[in-house]
Amino acid sequence: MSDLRLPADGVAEPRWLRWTLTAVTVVFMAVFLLLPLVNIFHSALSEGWRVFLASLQDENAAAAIRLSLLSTLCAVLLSGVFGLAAAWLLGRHRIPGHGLWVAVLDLPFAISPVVAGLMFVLLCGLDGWFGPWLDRHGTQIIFAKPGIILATAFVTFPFVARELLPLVQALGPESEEAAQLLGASPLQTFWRVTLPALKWGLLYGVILCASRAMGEFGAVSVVSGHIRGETMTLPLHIEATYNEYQFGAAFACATLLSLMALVSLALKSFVSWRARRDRESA
Amino acid sequence: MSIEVRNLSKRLGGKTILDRVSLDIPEGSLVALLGPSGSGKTTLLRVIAGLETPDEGEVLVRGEATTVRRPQDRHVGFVFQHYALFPHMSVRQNVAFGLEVKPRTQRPSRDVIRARVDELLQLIQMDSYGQRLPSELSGGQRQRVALARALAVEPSVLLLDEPFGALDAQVRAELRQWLRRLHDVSKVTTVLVTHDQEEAMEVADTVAVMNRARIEQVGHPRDIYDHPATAFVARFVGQMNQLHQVEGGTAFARPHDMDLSLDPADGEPARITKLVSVGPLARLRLDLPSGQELEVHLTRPRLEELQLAEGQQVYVRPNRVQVLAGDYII
Repeated sequence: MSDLRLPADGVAEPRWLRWTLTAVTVVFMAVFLLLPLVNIFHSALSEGWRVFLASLQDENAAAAIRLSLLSTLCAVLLSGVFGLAAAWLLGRHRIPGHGLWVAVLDLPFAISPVVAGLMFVLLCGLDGWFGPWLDRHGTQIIFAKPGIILATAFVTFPFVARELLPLVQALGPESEEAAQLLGASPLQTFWRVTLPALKWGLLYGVILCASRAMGEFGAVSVVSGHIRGETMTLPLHIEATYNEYQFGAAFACATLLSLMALVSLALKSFVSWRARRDRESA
Repeated sequence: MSIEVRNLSKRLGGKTILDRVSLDIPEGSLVALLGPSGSGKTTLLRVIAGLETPDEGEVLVRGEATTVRRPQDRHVGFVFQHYALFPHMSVRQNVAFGLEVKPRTQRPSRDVIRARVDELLQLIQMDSYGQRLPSELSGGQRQRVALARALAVEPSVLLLDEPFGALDAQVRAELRQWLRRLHDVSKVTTVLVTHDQEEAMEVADTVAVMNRARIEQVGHPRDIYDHPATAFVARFVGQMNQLHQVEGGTAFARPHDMDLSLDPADGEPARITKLVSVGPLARLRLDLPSGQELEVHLTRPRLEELQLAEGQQVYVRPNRVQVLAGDYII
């Protein structure tokens, strides 16, 4: 382990500078990060516990929570499968245009979510490329749940792949080759050797992906159509209730979303701690 | 099981890695592939294992072509330089892996697997380490586990890719002798890749020296040392002095085939620049007037007889000279 102790007094920055930097950081975190969070919880509970619970049990709120969970689950599954496949392909093989593919992987991060949403409208909307065909076959994507799931998945696609790519490269092909030469089939090699080596990275990517999927607003807002109780996710529901001056309800749902974020933050720290521990003992 | 390598060629990105390589590996032998890095020895081993496909040529096992078979069907035991143990599995689980993944109809019962693992752990003298993770073992222990894992499936061929390359000198020497004893007992046809000529010489029955994608010489270690076929082999295996150009090639002499004298009639003049006399042999570095350097090894009695010291003028003469053709340049 590297030595993380601060340099002794005298060789370090002057004391006043250190105190100033610390103070600026603490004040900034308090004012811009902690205070708003506390305020959300405070506002949510300002009309009492009963109003708080009622706003969460409201039919539309419950539908929004369900849709958010559904789209998060789908995004995690898609991103997980795609991420594993992409990381393995790009980490193990030299395919033509390798660097370009790695860059394309980041496209969903670089592009504004609103534009991503519009892309789906242009592809699958009634006036879009596939729209008429989809319509003839009785399938609706835009302004319906499939569109929301697709948009969420698109925005969160790179998380798992990005997390796994360096791990796959670091793992190297040797343990897989060893497994093969010991008689393991490709499937056995994947389940018994590759996946266990990648599990913490995969979990980390999945948590990042889930927390991003839960909070996704821009892309989903474009494809949703804002139909109450049907195509509203939790963030859309919060915005809608807020715009209707139902502050109690809006903040109650915001509390829920914040809690989920805090939970995923805690999970993320736990996973990265475990992963580091495994790495250090390896 | 006997292995015949027939005319293997492989190119990668415009670079020739194997150039029409042929090699016979008789049943029950221990063959070392010896060469500098980049000479193609590891690639040759990986082709035999089925991890790489050659562009041309084939590998015959007991006269039967195997180049088309998948790695998992070749019954090959492979040991990697960096062990390639499964980090999340205990020592026991690592060793048992090859047995556990067998198709249900061929898989031994749990008790049989347990007994086999016990037996192998005893063989590598690690009975009490079964529950440890690879990360809790030293390098030498990890490599022994890797060997046990490869032996668990009773391979017909054992392939070792620089197995002791990552270990320190003492552990390396111990494992080397252990490997030789293991081979004497088990008689599994074994191919060992190494860049360490001492290792190849000590362990193998047959050494194949590789250079620039080709095999330059195959033979008994002693023959290779005493009668190198090319200038490259002469230089790579043991120390060699390059003397002068003669008709048909270059004259070479081993340091221990040179003698010194104080009589000008006995050879070319030279000056001793360095004298190290530790161990049974004294090692001397000489400068010739031409600027060329020579290495000479003398026995301790001979050194005491001559009473030599650094900086002294002496006369040097080879006792035995070999003339070798070859384009090898320092």
